[in-house]
Amino acid sequence: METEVFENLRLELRRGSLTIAVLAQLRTELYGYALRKALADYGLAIDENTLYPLLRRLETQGLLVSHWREEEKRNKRFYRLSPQGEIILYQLLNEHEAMHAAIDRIMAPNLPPQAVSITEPEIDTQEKEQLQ
Amino acid sequence: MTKPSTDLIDRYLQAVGFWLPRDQKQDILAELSEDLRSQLEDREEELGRALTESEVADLLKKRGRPIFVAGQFLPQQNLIGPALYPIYVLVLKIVALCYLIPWLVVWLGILIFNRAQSATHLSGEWHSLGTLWTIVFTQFGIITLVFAVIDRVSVKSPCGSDWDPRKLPKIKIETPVKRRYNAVCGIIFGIFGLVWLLAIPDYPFLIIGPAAYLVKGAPIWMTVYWPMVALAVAGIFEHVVRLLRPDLTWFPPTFNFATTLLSAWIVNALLHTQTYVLPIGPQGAGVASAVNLSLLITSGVLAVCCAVGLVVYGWQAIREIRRSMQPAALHMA
Repeated sequence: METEVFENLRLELRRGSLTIAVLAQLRTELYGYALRKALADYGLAIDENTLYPLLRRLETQGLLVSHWREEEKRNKRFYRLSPQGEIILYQLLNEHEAMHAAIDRIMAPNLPPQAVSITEPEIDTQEKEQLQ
Repeated sequence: MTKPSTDLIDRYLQAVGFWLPRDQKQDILAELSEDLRSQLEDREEELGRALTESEVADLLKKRGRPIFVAGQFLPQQNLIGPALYPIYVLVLKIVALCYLIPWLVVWLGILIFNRAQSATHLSGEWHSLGTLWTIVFTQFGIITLVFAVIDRVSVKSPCGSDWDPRKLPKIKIETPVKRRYNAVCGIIFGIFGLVWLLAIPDYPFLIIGPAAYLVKGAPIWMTVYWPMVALAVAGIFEHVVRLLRPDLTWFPPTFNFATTLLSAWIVNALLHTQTYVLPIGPQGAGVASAVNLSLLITSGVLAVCCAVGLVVYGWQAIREIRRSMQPAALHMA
């Protein structure tokens, strides 16, 4: 039950962040599989069943542009950030940063000084212990 | 000869394509195909050999069932959106409470009554129960369809921003003074009602007016009269208890449940008689049949009211009894 709740919340949290990551990565042109690999190399593995529908949605919203091109004897669909996508990406990054900073400020009084950043994985454990 | 991996991938893509919209099908499949083949090549490069059929099957299995994969590309749809959904559920509850549950209770009553009267076949009752389910599904289906249409065509959502908080209903607080006032009024009107009821046998015009000179009460009233007087006395008793012991929150619904049960018994007796007045002379025959018909219809309506009352009071009584058994701290919460 607890794991299920965590999993649902984790997915909710990930959804928005993945969009930002995809938009940020596509400042340079990439095709789907290469994009997946690049994100995984940065520690953000993304399921292909999530990535391709997301790419299509972002393209429909005008944030990405794509075209088919032959590379290594195979036709591949290359994506890159559109000018409108660039504006939205920076707006989203600002929003993300503001939210991150706000959470840091909320958490700061309750945590030891060395563990202010919520991005470090061990904080989850500490937070759990505190709640218990 | 086709490679086993190519064959499996092609079959997989064909299965995915079955669920995709026609205008995007080729484009999506081409991209999926490219992704699959790239992944396959990477894996083969890692292993330094071609993948076996079972390894390819594992890879495809990890991707998920074709219908699931295709579903991710389809627009997220719902029949009734979140704005209308609470209203939809409320309407379904109203229909269930005001129509279906009384219907079921009446059906059960008829079944029990018929069983007590004779041991005939159950087929008639079962047939009518089948009709009930048809009605249930038809009604729920129509309501769902209507809401789905409203959801599609409505331009202005009821959950939009155009609303005024000042128009929200005021908080209902029953002050002790108001509660006492209601109880006293209930006692006064209850006494008037009881006096009126006790006077009816001697002064029948009090209930049927000038028709009392043309018709007289049928024998059924001898059976149901005193239970009706008991109901009137019970009504006064209930208001007295409400006045003296307002803290007994479980009492009103429990008592109402019991009195509704008695009312149901009276209505049942009336429904089975169907003769409520008899003509005094030949000129009273027309009036008698008209009064009998109107009282039969009234009894039918009362039967439905009793059924609803039993459900509502039963539910309220259980809730209040459970609440009264909980610790005081939980009441505050």
